[in-house]
Amino acid sequence: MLRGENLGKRFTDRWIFRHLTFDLAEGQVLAVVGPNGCGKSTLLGIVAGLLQPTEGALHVDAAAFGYAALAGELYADLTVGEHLEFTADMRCCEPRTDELLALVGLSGAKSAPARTLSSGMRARLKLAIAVQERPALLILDEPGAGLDRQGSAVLATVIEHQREHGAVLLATNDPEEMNLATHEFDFS
Amino acid sequence: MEQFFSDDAQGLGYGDGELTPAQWRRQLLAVLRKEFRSEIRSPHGLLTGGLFSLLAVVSIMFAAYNMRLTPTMAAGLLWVIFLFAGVAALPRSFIAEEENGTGDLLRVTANPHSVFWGKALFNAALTLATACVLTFLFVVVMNLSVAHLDLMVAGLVGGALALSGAVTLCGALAARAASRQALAGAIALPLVIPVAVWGVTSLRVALGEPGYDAGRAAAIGLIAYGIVSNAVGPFIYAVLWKR
Repeated sequence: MLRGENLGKRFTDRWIFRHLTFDLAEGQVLAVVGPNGCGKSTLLGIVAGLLQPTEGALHVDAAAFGYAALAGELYADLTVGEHLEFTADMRCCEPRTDELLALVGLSGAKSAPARTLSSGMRARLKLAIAVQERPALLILDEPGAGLDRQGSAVLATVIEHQREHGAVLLATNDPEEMNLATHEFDFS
Repeated sequence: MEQFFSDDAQGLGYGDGELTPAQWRRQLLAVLRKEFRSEIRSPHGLLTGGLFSLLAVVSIMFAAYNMRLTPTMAAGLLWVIFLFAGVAALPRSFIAEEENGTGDLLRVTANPHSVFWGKALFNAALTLATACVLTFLFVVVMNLSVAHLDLMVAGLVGGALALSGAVTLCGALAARAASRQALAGAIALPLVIPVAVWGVTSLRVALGEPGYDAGRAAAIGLIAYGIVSNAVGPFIYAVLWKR
């Protein structure tokens, strides 16, 4: 489903990583682990198309992907429901608003502006946005940061569901999240 | 669907594919709706541009209380207000996405062309509304007479389109730079000079200066400039879409 060959990324004079080769097949959850600043988010950014690699090749066999990152922000003035409507319109897919909000436990916050959400609720909304299109490849960058025990259970459910029809690329240093992985890629 | 990228690999990049007209329209309207909602709930553009413009008109009103402004003076003053308000407020539509951290949310869900068009249309609507209100206020308060209404309307519409197109493009170009707002203003300077020249020309003729043909040519120039800047903008923005 996803294969990176000899990937490398440089910002000005500094190489973040080089000669990275990995494979991700359907049904797998690949956890990318390593110390802060080693390039986990950079790698996920490249796979998500947000960054261009300096060298190497990326082979993809996924028609759609979902991406959720701890660092990503939401529109403060849009409500939870409006976020899902907006991303559905941008992806030209069904919003599945009520279904997704029930999945991540935000049904009661549909009309709440994003600025009023706690960090855990924001993380859940980002997760809902990431899986809205039922993507073949789910890219999660530290998705569990800020999640409570219930939220962590939601994340585990989402990842299990994703394995049934696709794969997950997960950047994390959280031992609980690492337990959800089938494979591990250690940057350090 | 398999995508193979060679040594200059570019990743998945949602939104790189072709859109049907219906999909493009859906994305465009979604961006437009989002911009209007955000502006109504947190009116940055209206406050920045609108308040400045209102203050400027009131200041001129007091300063020129006993004076009769010539059409050229009136057109020049009004366009100074339009330009400052536009350059201060319009680049925000792109810059705010990067400053607020929502740029990546757009990049993983949207097509750069529809994002640019949605924001450009929103800026054009905001600029036109501001220009119409200001011009009406200015004409009434300064007791000016409109000699050619058709030229005034064409000049205002063309001017709004041209100014918003040029400044929106500057905002898109500068959004990912370090000193975004300042850079957007600096880039805007050479792009808005033709807009200012044509805008003043069409407006002063509309207010009674002789030279209808020159005024009409200036209004046509504004409309053409607006069309070109808005048409070229998405392609330039698409190049900057990924880092």
